[in-house]
Amino acid sequence: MKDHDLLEAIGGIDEKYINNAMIPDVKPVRRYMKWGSLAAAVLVVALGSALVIPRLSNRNGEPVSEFNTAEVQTDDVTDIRILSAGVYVPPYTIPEKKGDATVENDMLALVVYNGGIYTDTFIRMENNDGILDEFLGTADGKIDEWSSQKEYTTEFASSMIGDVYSVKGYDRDFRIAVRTEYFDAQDNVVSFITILDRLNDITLTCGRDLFESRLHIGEYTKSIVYETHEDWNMCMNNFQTPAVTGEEFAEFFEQVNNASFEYLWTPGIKNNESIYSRDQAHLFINLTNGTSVELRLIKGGYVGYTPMGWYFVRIPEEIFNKIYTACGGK
Amino acid sequence: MDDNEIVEFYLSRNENAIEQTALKYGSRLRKLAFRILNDVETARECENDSYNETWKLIPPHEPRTYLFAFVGRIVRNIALNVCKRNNAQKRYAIYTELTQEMQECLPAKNDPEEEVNAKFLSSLIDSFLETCPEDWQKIFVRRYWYFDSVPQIAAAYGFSQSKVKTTLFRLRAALKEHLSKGGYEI
Repeated sequence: MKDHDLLEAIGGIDEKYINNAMIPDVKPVRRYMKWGSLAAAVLVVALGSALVIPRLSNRNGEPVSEFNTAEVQTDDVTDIRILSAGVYVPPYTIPEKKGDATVENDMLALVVYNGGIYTDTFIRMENNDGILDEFLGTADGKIDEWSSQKEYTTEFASSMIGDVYSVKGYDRDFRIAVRTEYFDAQDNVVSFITILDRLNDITLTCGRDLFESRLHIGEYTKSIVYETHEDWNMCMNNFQTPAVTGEEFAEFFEQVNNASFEYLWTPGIKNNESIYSRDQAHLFINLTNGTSVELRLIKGGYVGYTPMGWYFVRIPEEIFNKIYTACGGK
Repeated sequence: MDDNEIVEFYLSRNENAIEQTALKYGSRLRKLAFRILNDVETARECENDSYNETWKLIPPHEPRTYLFAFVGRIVRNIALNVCKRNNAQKRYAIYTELTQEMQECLPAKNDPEEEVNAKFLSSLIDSFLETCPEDWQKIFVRRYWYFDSVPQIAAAYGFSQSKVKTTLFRLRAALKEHLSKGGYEI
């Protein structure tokens, strides 16, 4: 049997599977589309000047931060190791192969640009070319789970195919976009944009290093909605407006910006001991450019940028709980 | 128009059959061929050829409840044959990508020169899909029957790309095991 025999044999599967997988000739409701329709109804938060706090940056506009692993604390509930003076996110490296190819490498949508590895933010947009800035090159889609570390240093090597652009309003050292095209149900060419961030080989001392210097939340916020963890888990796209005042949000973000980043994963940690085993909620900051920033709120005062996985800031529980409970957190 | 009525046109040799098929499913068929070939003109040719083939095959077939799957299979086969015919001169990205993915599903001791019974293999895949959750079935079929890209599948069902990729990885591993158990091991 050859590989193409199998591909051809799939052509002969039962019709019921083909019909069940047929996508209706109407556009499916997607997360970002729903946000668009919600935009008019959701809370427009007057974050005001509280968020536009002078940024800690050097003359080149790069975030100033220090890497210090000397002070290590242990969370009294989870036994999770905490680096109190911020974190350095190491460069992306391929997990060592053990026998078969690793799953992890195949899971990430990534593009190599300017010596850095940019990974998927799960932000997708249709027909929003206005967000694109300068054309940078073409992603070749050649990286897969069998690729070597060396291939991850080749400019525009990637696990997805498309044209790579910088994104208006963002430093290209942090954020790029990949644009592809497909035909919609009416045979129109639709552009499909995937946003990728460079979230490795960076140092994050405090929240501001990420949320303001890179993501510009205070500058671009248009509205804020939330989704309960249960709905989020089921991909319900059930976005709701939190009952939170502008002042409370301003205080929340000020605390987030000033808090230290912590790395909350320990080798060998059991699932039921990880921070992700705690109750949580999901806050979506919709920005004026049509994108959004998803913040994960985890019981105990932890706030993280969802694509960053195990990196969180921890803020005082009083203000955290106001936002957390308003977002359906238990 | 209802599939049953369109099939009646074919059975009565009424040429409205092709027009109605094109009206109802032309766009989907064209897109299916386009995803495989990445060339609009060739995709249109495949679509037209599929109508001619359908005209020849109904009767004796009567796909009253699965007309799209029936014509879709035909256009898919035509497009795959174009790929195989031209693959030496031109690489078709998605075809190459998916045949590589299929290599993961081939049982370890399989002889590449072994002649396979396509129908038996299809029935094995059917029985494999029967064991999968519905989400998995859809992701598998969108990827390997409809030739959708991972971002397209993710967007269509509201999943993250990671979820789609992980599911596909698991599906390939599970299919490999299923094929081994089903007799594709020497």
